[in-house]
Amino acid sequence: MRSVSIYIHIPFCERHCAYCDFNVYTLKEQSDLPSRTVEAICREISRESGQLNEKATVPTIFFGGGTPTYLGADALGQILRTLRQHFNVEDNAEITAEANPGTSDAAKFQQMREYGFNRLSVGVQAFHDMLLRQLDRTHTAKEAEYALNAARTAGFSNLSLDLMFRLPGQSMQDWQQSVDTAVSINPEHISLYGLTLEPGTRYERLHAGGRLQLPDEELETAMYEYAISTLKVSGYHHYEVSNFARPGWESRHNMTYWDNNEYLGFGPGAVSYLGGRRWKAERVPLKYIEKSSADVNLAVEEEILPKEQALAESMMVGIRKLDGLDLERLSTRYSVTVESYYSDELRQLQEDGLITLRSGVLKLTHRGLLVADTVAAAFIRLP
Amino acid sequence: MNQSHIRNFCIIAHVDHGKSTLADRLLENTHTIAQRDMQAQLLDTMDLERERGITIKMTAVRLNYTASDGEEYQFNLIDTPGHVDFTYEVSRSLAACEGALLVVDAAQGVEAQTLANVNLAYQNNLELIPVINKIDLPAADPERVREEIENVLTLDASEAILASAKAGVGIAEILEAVVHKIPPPKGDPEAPLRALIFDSKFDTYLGVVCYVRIIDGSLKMGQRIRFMASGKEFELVEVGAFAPERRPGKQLNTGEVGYFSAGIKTIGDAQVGDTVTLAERPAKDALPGYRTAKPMVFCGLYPLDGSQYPDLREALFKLQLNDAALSFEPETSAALGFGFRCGFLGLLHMDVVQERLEREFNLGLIATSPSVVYKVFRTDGKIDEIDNPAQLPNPTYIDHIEEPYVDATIIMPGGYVGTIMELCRDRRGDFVSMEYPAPDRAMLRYRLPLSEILMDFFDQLKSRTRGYASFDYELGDYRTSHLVKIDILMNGDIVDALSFITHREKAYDRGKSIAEKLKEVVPRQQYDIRIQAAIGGKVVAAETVKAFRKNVTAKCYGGDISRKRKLLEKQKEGKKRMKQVGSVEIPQEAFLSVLKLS
Repeated sequence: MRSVSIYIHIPFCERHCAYCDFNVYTLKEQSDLPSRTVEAICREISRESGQLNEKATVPTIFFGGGTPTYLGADALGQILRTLRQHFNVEDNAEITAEANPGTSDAAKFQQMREYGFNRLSVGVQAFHDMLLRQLDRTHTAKEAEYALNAARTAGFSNLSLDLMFRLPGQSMQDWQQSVDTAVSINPEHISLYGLTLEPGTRYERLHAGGRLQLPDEELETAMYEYAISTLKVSGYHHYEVSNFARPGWESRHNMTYWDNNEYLGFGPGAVSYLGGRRWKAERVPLKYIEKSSADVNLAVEEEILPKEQALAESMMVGIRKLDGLDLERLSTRYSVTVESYYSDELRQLQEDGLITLRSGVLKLTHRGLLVADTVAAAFIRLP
Repeated sequence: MNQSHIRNFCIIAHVDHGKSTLADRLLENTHTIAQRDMQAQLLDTMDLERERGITIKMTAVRLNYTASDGEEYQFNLIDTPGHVDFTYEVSRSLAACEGALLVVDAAQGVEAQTLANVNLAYQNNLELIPVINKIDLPAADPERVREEIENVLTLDASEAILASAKAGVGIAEILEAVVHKIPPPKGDPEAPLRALIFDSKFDTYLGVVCYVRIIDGSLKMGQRIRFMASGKEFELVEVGAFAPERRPGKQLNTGEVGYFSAGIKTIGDAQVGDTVTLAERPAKDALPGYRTAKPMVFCGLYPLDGSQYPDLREALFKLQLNDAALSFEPETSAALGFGFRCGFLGLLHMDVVQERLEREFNLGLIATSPSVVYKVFRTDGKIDEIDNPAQLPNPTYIDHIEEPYVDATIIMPGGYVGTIMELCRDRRGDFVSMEYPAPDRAMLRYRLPLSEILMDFFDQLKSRTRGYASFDYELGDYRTSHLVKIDILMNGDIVDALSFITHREKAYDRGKSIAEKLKEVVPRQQYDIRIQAAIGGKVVAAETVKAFRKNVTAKCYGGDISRKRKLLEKQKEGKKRMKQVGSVEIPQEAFLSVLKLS
């Protein structure tokens, strides 16, 4: 039976953060756009599942955004219910929602838990009010801690939190304090994101205009390395470039991406990857709704990946897994001997001390980890 | 046409003093061309020329003029290139004339280029008719300009014609002056043919079209002609004049200006300055003044995309068809790959060729620093002429090196003398003289190394004088200089394309500025990159590009995978255009910005 992970994109936020380039909209109060978007998402779930010639099994569901908790628990529940109607959602499926401390309370978490959500990923970003304000976040450090507690109380036994480093004005002490606080809260999972300046964001404009002072590369590297060693001694498993988990609590949904496995995305701007085809849905919510109700094809970008490109992508995302990338398995999947297909690249990367390759398993060295994009680029061949 | 009714003349003017507009007016007033067909500045036919407002390739036009005495005259207006690079071509055009209109801007006065061309005109014994143009400008000061013409050019300007080509003022007077002041051509109609080639161009259908002035004898259809310098013979295919488009006729007579074609395949067979005679009845002596085009400035031209090398070769061959002064031979650079060492008459010629290669042939190019021809006197007594730093022998074999100098004239408002003298000193110039030809006008003469004006001398001149200085030069002699070769090294490997020859005293500064520039433009890589500027084994400047420490995107989720792959593909695409020097990858942009700097 076909196994497909599912991603639901809720493209609404109370505020648009200065660093964020995701497909996100801020709305006036009492807009009916969110509820109409939920309807459209449910309609798309039903339609898309009808196009699969068998009922697919769903091991993981992830509600991201935007801010899924911008919606009420009922709306989230409605989407989940629709998914269960049309897909074989596994009994022990990992069902995650991203949550912002500012838009959640114990009652909402309670309801979500009842609807079947069993994992929460809380966007803390920093335990530091000044930095949070700068990032345009709507919550304070205290509120973040409160939200995490509330989630626990509501019965979430699988919690994740996000932290950001390389923030404007962030010192090493600030960062250490955030990491240490995170550890003291003892979540099952922690994601650490170095700030990247994405085109079109306010931060990028400020930076281009010379009005954004960021920690230099040395400090950024030191921050990353501090977190890696601190989390390690605290018993977290560094299993992906940016992700750490208590052993056994690694995010199964996100592993789908790093394994380059299939997933379906619903919601404005959501991406799907199925049967060697990748497509992105209409980004603008109103158009998404209109197209969906008019039964028009929602895909706005689409590509069919030839085998070589799919393999290159598998390498590109696979090397991010710190337990290693099993080249034997890739060889079987793409019916090509990966070690000989990439023999030059693999030899060079080993010579440069960026990877190790033992019994068919490719792993980044520590130096390789710091320049993982350079390693990934080695596997990209130009058409 | 009766020889006494022929007038051959050209227009001498500084850039922007209104030469082309005046030419247009002459064409209109003689009904050579109807006003409605007038495209502004008709004589300059190349796009590039029109854009830059300068004439690169000249043309000759025949005008029929009925004078106030009722007689009909044949005017031949020969356009001349207005740039020092083409001094030889100008001198040949002048040799085809008996007179010239000397056009001077009523506001700006005499400029250096005017002076240089007037000197050439004197050498060719031309009768000069001073025309003070643009008298309708608010800043016009014809009296001051009249004085300047007399002082700077030592020319009687009391009868100078006051004109505005733009407004059509003074045109009739000019036409009459051409009749009355410029002598008719002398020449012996009975003597064996001697025709001066003053220009030639390549035409896809006709082959080489030669522009000629018949000095003696005549040129008729069906005759077999001989080029006296090359000795080559051809059968005449077409003969005629331009008025302004090509008008084939039967013959060209003594004193006339026109063109012919003779199935000539390459322009090298019909060199400017050569004398054409008849194969059956050849003249005894060729006309004086012929020399072959000699490149003065050299640079390496490389395709940005190595696969365009054959296209570049093809394009150079095509340009050479029309440009005998362009030379090229294959050259290989470890850093830039396959390319050509190209020789040019001067900087403008180099710019024009590069631009045409890029524009007309759609090539992306990298040019190495321009170099002059150095004379290297070896310890064993041999003399090498080198135009490429790579050819410089090991310093232990060099006794001394000589470099070409130019005799430069700079004319500017008096207030700028100080800053310009400073500039010339900085460029190793030797002061020759200073004069004040008119109130608030200064004329400086300097002897300058040609290599120093290849840099940004002209730009400096303009910026230091807010555009008020004019500059011209004649090639001078070779003189000994303390010259050294600077190599640029990346992690110990010489980047051959960046080597250059410079004066010992400037070596440090230039080496340093290039190392600094490279540090800015070479992207950080996995390893530290050492950048050094060195003379022989001695490092004179050094910089380091630190290796990057961290290069990893934090997030990589489902929606990002395509984007991420495309980003990496794009980076890789950029990398493909990088040039490998030893272990270091250098983007082409780095070469371009460094070469621009030097």
